[in-house]
Amino acid sequence: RVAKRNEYIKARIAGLYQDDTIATNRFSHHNKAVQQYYREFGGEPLGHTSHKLLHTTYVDRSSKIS
Amino acid sequence: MTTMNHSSGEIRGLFKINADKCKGCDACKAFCPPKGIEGASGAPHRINEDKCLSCGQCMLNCPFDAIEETHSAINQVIEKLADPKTTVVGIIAPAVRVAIGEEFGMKPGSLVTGEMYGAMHKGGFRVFDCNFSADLTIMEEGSELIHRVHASAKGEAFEGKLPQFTSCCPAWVRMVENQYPALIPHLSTAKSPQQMSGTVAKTYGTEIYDTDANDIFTVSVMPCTAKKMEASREEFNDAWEWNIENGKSSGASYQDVDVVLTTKELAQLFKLLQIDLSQVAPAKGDSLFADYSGAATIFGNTGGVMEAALRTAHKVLTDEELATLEYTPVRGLEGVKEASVTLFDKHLNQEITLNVAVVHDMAKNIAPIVNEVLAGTSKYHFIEVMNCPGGCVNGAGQPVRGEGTSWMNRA
Repeated sequence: RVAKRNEYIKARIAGLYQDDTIATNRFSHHNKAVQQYYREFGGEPLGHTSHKLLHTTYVDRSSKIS
Repeated sequence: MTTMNHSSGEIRGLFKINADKCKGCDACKAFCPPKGIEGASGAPHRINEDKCLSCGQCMLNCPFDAIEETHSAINQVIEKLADPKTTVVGIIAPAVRVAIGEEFGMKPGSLVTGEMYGAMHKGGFRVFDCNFSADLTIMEEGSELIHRVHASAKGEAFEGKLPQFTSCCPAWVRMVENQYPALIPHLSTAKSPQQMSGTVAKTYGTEIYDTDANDIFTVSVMPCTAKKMEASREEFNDAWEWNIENGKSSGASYQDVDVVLTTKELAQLFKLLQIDLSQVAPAKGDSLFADYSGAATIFGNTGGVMEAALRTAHKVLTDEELATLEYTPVRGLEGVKEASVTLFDKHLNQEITLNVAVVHDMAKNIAPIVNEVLAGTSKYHFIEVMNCPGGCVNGAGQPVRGEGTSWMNRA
């Protein structure tokens, strides 16, 4: 029964790898829309705009665990 | 009483155990990564809301269906879809497109991207594919990794620490904040694709949609329940801050991602609107926000973010494309997968070896990796972490299967 549980996980995983193989472009750095975003608005990776909009910081919550 | 773990407005207590249904069988305890479920065997159990990561793996694995999700935004989304003044932007995660078909009688793994776009257009959504932001994440997070590796190799100071952990899984981020704060500098500072999508939709998106940010309502559709908590985190209103600074918005703050629907909830919404995804004509995206690469779409699999990152890192470091794209050492359901990639680094003008690891099913596999990093003995440069067994394809927001849930080859 446990093996059956994995079947649908493997099927979904295979589905995403299929979506990769049929893609005309398989590299993030060749995504034209992402290039357009940076050119028209976002500047460049790790730049000023990216720092404000695409990066974040985290919070030490270890003392707030009852 | 310690101050609350969650700040105001953040979703807390997303899951509740129904004491009438709970048999105290302890199945949920085995799946809870922070061991946040309390109660003696045989007695009704309770979830510690401070420790809870909102990951929902307890709900997915409860044999008695005793664990309920307390928060759903379906009605709010339906109202917004009916409001002509509001542009409702549907942000769709990678893993949704291989599971939502199951809610309409299709086989698990059926790739229904076109039908999903068609159904969303029929419902009144603009389609913003989260895969666009997955590519964006690779550009930001990959650059950050390379910066850390180069600075470390040249003995220069740099922000953050190595090994660098991925930050796209909100349950993993919450576990670090709750239990391993010393690992915070190791986390990539890049937002998750969901949060990048919301922020982009309400800044650059105002130009693309030719709409004021106040009239954009972002609905993130995720295979995951922890994304509901992530979207409500108080710091995720960067678009509002940006728009205020640039005089494009005034008035009360709004979140980058207004609400999150799980895959199950989007299917329910379609049914309420009499939309049968299996009968809808496939459609294309309606803006550049539906363009994505094959590297982005595999983010939903354990090892997918790593493989996508290696494809771009290889090009940036060697100036040549990775020859074989299917990087099998990071594929599969092994608890911890590792690999080392040796390549000639044009910037350092020397050969380097990148050691990487991929962890999923956090409850079972994360401890040794975390302990190594805390002890300073980890050999890795980059570690991908996903809470759910199999990765996001098996998140608690995905359709629940009759033959049981996410137990992975366990007795």
